[in-house]
Amino acid sequence: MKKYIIASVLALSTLFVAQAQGSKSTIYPTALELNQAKATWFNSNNAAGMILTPLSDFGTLSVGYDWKVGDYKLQQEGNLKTLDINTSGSRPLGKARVWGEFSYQNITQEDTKFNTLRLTLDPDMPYILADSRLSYFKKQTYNMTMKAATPVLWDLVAFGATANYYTKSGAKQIDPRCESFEYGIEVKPSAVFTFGDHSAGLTFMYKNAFDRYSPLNSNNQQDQPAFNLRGVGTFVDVVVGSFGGLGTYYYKTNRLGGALQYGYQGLNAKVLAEGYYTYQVIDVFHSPSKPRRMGSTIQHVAGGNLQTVLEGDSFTNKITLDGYMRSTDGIEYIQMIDATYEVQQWVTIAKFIRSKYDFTGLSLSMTSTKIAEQVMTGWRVFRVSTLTDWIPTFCLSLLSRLKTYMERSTARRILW
Amino acid sequence: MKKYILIAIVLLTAISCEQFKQVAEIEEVTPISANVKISAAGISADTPLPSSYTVRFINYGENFEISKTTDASGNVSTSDLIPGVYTVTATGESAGGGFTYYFSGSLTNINILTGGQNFNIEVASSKAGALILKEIYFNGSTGYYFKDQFYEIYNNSEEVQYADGMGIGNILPTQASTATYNWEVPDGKPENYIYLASIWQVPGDGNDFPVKPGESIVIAQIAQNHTAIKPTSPVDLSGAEFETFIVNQSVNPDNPNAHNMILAFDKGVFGTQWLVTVFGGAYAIFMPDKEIDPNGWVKPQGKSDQAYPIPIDCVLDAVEIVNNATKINQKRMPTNLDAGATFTGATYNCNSVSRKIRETKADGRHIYMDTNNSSDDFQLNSVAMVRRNNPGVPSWNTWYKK
Repeated sequence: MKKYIIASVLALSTLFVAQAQGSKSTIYPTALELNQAKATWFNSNNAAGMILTPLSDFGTLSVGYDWKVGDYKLQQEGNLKTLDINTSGSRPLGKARVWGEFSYQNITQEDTKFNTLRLTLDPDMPYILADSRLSYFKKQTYNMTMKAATPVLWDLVAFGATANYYTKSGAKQIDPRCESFEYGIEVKPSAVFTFGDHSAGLTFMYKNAFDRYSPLNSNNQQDQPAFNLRGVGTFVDVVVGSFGGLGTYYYKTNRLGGALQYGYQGLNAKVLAEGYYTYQVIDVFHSPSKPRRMGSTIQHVAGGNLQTVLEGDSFTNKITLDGYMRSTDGIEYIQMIDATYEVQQWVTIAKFIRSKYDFTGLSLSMTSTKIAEQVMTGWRVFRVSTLTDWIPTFCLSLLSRLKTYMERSTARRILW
Repeated sequence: MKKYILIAIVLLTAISCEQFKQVAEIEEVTPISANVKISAAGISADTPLPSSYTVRFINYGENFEISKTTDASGNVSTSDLIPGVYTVTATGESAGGGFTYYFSGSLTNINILTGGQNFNIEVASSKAGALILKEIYFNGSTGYYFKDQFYEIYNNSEEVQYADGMGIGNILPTQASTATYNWEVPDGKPENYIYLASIWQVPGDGNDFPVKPGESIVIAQIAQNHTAIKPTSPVDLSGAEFETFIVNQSVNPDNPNAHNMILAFDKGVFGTQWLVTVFGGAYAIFMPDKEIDPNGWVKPQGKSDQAYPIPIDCVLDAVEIVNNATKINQKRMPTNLDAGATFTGATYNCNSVSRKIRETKADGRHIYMDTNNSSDDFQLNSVAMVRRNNPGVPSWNTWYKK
């Protein structure tokens, strides 16, 4: 029996407008999903390729409410109540193509534990503050993404870019509490070269993020114990509150990466293969007026995926194979106060890798979409299948999906 | 347009590269070794030496500690250290002539980053502390009430001690912090002193205030029944032997029974009472080797604070109290006086710290722990208590009502 209940209500979810051949009409989720499944380059890191396998024109606005409760969850996650507003759309802009999405989430997390600061849980970030009191979080997130692609120039090349900006704010509601802010921007300029049915692309990736957390107590007469985690079960006792309490935490992220793509587009078949690599460093600091390093992580990510789409008059089949490897080193610093009268700052005298985290994931998903014969008042039946669930629902077509995945995760602490 | 995009990419890459450069070529940590030799050269030949010493390598930043025992020659090695900043303490104990002798020495904030380093620790000896700080109540009671602070001093020895002339004070900086004080003293040896913000002295001519073994005396900030003044206060200090009464003020009443301490040095006393920070001071009791000169203060480099230097040799007992566990590595008291620190972790909640009982004699007299390491010697009490564990009361205190 499942111990995690997920209830989801999607209101106004079919307020879609399709603009095909100059007409406007309402479309439904599966059609939209099919639209994205066929646009193989849209699902890659290369926005320029979006001109080769374009999305149909559409616009959506949805309002949703999610409720998740139960025991099968991370203790840091708690029970979730999420109000979600999302809008997205795709259309030509002159001869170019653009796609954009904006989402807003208002989240209430109840009965969370062992997370004092973070709005986004990251299994590869060992340097976090935790406390053992049951609490709840209030969070808001804003997320905006756009993709743009130029037309193919000189019958050879198209340029494009993906940009994402997000901002999150939140606050833990029980002592030790925290005011938390997270910001990030990611840009991926790209180019694609076409050679008849074949194409090749390349992408440059850059991300910069900045997180700020201010732990505090409402009851200033009672300090609150907490734990500065250092990974794989190690920690140092700390205290929130009083003059000796913790100050503001800062997380600074920079990520660079690149991706290469190869695509084939025949009459009834599309293939897109992509390989990518990113290198990311996150520095964690404490107390900005006298900064002290809490640690850093270095993360290497290498992955690839292969999308194959087969189309017929009454069906669309898609097979996607994803592979992913992530390796993270946790670095800790040995620091001393430079007591020189004019200086008085923390100085790093040594630094070492103190913990390592590895993750490997492999997934295979197959999606089959068929136009069914029976039409019931404009609706047709479709089913989603995973390894464990059959969820009946209604839509325009008969769609079956099978997804399987394998994951391996390791973490180890070096010495103490 | 292309130019701007190119400039943006170059700038972003440059920012990233600076961060990437700082974490380049970092290696995995490996255990390292260290060798320590204990030297007792400065100890009188009459003093029996311990057969071995306990050497502790304490890395406060990592919450990591290794304890080893020396061989008969005072040598010890370890090969299990994490590179880091360590306080290394050496302690030992011997008995002879009816006395217990304690030996202690330490190295503070030393970098042990590479293997094979050799360290020498010079230990000093002392007879089991005679007068010791037994209980300190500093963090006040609910409602921001702090006038009920007190210090209980206990005779932990086998002989009668005289409190006459004994000084008590707190050292600078008043709170544990990363701020450091580089003191400028006339003899150029700042490490030989502690620096007190204020000094209160017990009056008397040398034998007016005897304290027998197992007896304690209480120094109150204000010797009143605070449970009547402030119901949240846990202590009745009307039976205290001494109070730090400020003359020429009328806010706080004078208890005519309790003897008024002499304010010998007053740079750290403000207002109408001797208030030491509720976050935890670093206290010392001492027997000065000469009369306190109110103008004999010194200053730290670049600061205007004034403090009175007391030679470490004059200190009878010292206790470091910090705000909480995170502050232990910012302790102020020299480690040869107190190698650790104690704390309550909160303010205005009636908590106190007091020494743990080491042994109880046949006559019911307690001997308290006094290893010059407050981390080991002290316990946290949820409620402060005057004369905890029923110590004796000096016979000359005729106003104390049990």
